[in-house]
Amino acid sequence: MMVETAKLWQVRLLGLTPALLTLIAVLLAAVPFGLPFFGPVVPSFAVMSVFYWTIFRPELMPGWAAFIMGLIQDALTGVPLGATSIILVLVQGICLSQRKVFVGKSFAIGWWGFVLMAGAAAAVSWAIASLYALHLHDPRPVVVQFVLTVAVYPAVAWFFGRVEIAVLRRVG
Amino acid sequence: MPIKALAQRFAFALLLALSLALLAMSRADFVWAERARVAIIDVAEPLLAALSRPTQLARSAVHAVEDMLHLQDENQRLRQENQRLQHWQQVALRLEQDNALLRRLLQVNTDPQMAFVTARVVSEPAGAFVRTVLLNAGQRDGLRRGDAVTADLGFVGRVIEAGQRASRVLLVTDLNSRIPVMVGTARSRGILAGDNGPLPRLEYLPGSAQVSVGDRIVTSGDGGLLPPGLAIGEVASVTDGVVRARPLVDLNRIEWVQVVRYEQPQPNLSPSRFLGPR
Repeated sequence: MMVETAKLWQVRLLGLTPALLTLIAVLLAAVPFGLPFFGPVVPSFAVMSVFYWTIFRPELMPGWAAFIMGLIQDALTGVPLGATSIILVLVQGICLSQRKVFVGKSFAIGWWGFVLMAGAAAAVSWAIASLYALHLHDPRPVVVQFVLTVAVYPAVAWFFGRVEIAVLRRVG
Repeated sequence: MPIKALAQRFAFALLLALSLALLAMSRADFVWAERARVAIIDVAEPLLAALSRPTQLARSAVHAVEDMLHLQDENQRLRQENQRLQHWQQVALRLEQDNALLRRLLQVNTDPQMAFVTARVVSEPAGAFVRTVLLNAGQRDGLRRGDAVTADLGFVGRVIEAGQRASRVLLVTDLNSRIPVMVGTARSRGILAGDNGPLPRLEYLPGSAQVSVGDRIVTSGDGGLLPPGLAIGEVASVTDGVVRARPLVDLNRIEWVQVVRYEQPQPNLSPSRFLGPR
């Protein structure tokens, strides 16, 4: 009985890994790197994390987790509350309904899906920001951010894959 | 499992609606929206400070190597600069004496009460639509909303959210930044308006204003929100009536700032003020 409860808790705690990794991704959006090629825009690590985990571990990346991580990123990066959460909720919702297209397919197909998803996320975030400020924002930073995000995704996905094998194998 | 799918769809719609509602409420300046943001940055500040430490170490290592490479040039440059500055020191001392004397004669009593708080920048001005940074100091260190923020050479922005231990600075380049300024020796008044680009625009200059590239731009203190005379930058270009300014400080690479606690001077309205020296 005791052993079973302990095991249940272990599974639950390990199950928080995707959410924690997303939290780290959110913090990375705000940390000063000071690298010449890395700013003023940084890749959208949070979009990568929500995309990856929704497709490969949907039960560990529920919509409300994406929503809360979005709120935290909004507060940290100084954009209106709701601006990033709407993006992450959209990514989570769309990936959840389309995940069968990607599961068990080659990495290239997953990457292609990510390009579409990140492109849509960039376009929507630009539209929301412009609507919110009633000002057409310069689209170039968003395009640069999109390209960076897509370019960095394979490395991040590889890392998430390692984490999945090392940690999450023990979780259902 | 249709019920599960239905629940998922319901949750999705609910969270989307919630996000939109939050956006609308932020737009309408609900007070609690700002409080929520401040609460989040307060909690996240230690995490960000911890994460920014290694990147800062790496940066200082890079700087150290660069410095070693340019040691000789730098030495020579500093000698020349030192010579020039010693001359200026003499000038400044003389002017300070003159200024004090004249102020005494006129019984001027408008010296602002200024105090400085030094803080570290713990977040990058990252993001495609905003130009803000987070500081690791807040109300418990004496910061308040509206305080002026300077980095080694000049004014960089204003505190727009002050939590207990962290606060947010709106940089002069942000789309929402409007700073009353004076330009050049004629001290023409205008507004420095950010547009998220690196070079903010100078707006509302009087039609008669003569502005040329290289003119110094300082805060005017109009409106009483900011101390007057803080250097911001210089005029970078004048084309087709559009005047752009180049900030003195590289706003993408700020590591430390000084927050200016400024008390608006109370006008001296005692009767003796108008009776002249006794």
